[in-house]
Amino acid sequence: MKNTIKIERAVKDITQQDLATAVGVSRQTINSIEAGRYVPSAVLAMKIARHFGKPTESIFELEEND
Amino acid sequence: MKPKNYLLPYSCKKVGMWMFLPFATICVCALLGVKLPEIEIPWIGIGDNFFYHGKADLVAEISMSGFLVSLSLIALSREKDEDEMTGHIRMQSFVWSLWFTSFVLAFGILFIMGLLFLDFALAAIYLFYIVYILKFNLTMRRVRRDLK
Repeated sequence: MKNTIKIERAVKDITQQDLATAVGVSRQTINSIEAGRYVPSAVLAMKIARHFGKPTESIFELEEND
Repeated sequence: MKPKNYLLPYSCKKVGMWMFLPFATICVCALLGVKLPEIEIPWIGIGDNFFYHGKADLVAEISMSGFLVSLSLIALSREKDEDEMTGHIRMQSFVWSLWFTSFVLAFGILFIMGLLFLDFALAAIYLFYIVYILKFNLTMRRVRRDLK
């Protein structure tokens, strides 16, 4: 699953740590999600989307092999 | 609704790590046949005829129990930054450790014979914990290193 968290962060000008604190996870989790190494749970994905004020599908997108 | 994860506080991990070294040393020494002081005390337990009433070696009982407690504290305590990804890594390490231990046990059952099997069975009790702790902590270390 690909995502646009890095872009959204750049738009909002916030760090990985800021986002991690806002959604209640560690910075390493945000880093792993951005790098595509970890697929977040539905709850976390929705929290991230809500933080950016966008629908979940606009930040997280399924890939061919998902 | 937050799911329960049944983990102990992070401080318990530190206690487990402090306990690990002395108890592990005594257990390894015992396994390697090093002569340890014997303190026999009256004991009640389960034996061949179900009910055992006899003597037990206090040093062996305490060191093996202490080793198990230390491993449990390390394995079952939260990380400082526990979150859902840590839980995911825990689950993966658990499955990996189960596979590894199963293969080692199968090997032992098939190819280790005689009295040596008793030592193997004794060591196998702790193997799952040790493999799980190693796998989990190595994975967490790699994840943290990727941040830098």
